[in-house]
Amino acid sequence: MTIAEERAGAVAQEAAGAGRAVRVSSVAGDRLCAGCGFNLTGQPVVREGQYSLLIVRCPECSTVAALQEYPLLGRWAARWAVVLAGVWALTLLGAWVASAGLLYALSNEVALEASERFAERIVAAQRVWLEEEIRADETKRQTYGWLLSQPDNYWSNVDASWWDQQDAAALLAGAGGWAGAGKWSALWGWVWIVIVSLAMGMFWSVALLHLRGWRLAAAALLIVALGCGFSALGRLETATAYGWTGAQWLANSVMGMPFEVMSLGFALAALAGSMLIGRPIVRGLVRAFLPPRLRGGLAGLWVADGLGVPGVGRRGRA
Amino acid sequence: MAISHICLGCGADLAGERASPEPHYGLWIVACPRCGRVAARRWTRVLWQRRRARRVRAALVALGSRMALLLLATAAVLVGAWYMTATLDEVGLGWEDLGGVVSGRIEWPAEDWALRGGPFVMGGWVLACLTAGAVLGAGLSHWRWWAAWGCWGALLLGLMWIKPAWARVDVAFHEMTDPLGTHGAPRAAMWGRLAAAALASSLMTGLGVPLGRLIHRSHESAAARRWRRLLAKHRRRRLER
Repeated sequence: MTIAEERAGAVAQEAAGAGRAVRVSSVAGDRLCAGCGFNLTGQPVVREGQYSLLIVRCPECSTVAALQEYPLLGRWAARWAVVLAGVWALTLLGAWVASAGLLYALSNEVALEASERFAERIVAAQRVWLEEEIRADETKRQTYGWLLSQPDNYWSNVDASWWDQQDAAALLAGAGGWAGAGKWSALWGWVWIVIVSLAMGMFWSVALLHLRGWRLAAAALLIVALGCGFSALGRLETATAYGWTGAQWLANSVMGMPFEVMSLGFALAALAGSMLIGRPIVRGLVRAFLPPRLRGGLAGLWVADGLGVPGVGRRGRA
Repeated sequence: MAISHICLGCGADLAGERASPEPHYGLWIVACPRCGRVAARRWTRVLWQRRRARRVRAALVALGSRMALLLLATAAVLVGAWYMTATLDEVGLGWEDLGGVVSGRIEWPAEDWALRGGPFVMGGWVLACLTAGAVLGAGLSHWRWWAAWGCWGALLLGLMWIKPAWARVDVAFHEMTDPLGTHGAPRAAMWGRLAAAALASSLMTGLGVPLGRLIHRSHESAAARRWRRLLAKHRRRRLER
């Protein structure tokens, strides 16, 4: 007997034995075949005639799955489930901190770059003071001579004792305030925020598969809120060593805050938007790169939004 | 103690009942001793989840490897096309002159071309294009070949302009020299030259697509042969029993 004959015999036997099989519905959720792991979404659910059991047959390996069932969950299954859930929760926690840290780092970078012009102004003001100090006391040339020989740059060092005597607000006002002194071309850094947010949005929209719509946007808010926390912590620290501090760091601490807040606000909008479009983008990538046969394992991406998996099962037609 | 299993028909607890294999469907079933209603039991969820994880892993590996391969092949074509453009520029030719060279209207500067390493550059470019075509043909086998080829060509056209666009942004906003070594500042003529490079690269890549389809088909038929052998083995075993 050939395979085809054997298969035909089995089908005929099923037709005879379960002739009263009635189709009652189709699988709408994410349910994998216990035999081969094929996703049964879209397959017809029938009440077979022999035992009145609700069954669904895998179209790939023909294994029958009973739908009225009691899972034989052993104790170890529950323990493993707890362990895996814990690992998953820790992973998400780590990803949350990493995402917030990355957005904070990008926003801080924008603020640092925006402060460059004001930093150069601080260094120029210090140069005037240093020259006066040396004119008054020539012995100070040993201490400050090297610094004076260097060109003025936004990364130059600033004497912390001199800076403590300065009125930073007045210095900033003299430079035209944060809006006037800021280097607005630093906002080109937002291009990186968009790129990183898009990648993060795709990750989070898949990792938080149970969330949709505004709830996903709220998750973006949580991430950016932690980024704001990092920002606040970063502004508490001091960067003075051996009586010297960096001009850019000082400028950032005086006028960088509005740029950092703007960047974090932009990051929130970009991340929330990316989270909303992230799942469709991932679905598009899966459709573009995977043939229907391989999409079944990732059917959750469609089922989570109440959609049929394209090319898989009865409902899904690519 | 066994997990409680209540009969949906009469409410009797079937926990003490032993499940037996059903020959037709291959399910483990329990018949209620009171009302006769049949219920099924299944394997643990751990087994189910392991198979699910295996399936997801297979999909992710396939997705990642296809994306990475296509990315690498596209990057190789881009670099090859940029080098070809630069080398053609050095010998005083453009992509549009290659047609004239083939028809004999334009004399091919063979010596100058060889001196500037042209054959190696061209060989690398051709190899990169054929490889990209093969990756397109095999990796996107569920696409119609012309759709995959057309979309990829459009993508290449967009990517081709990254280098001069990057240089322009850099010059405009950071007052720096071009970090990627574009030959000179971006000029209007360069955009047209890069479009020609993208077109030529797309045409060359098109030659690799049938190769990829052939590789895919031979791989599929080998898998089908393996399945047929496996099924025949199982059938023999069943018949022996």
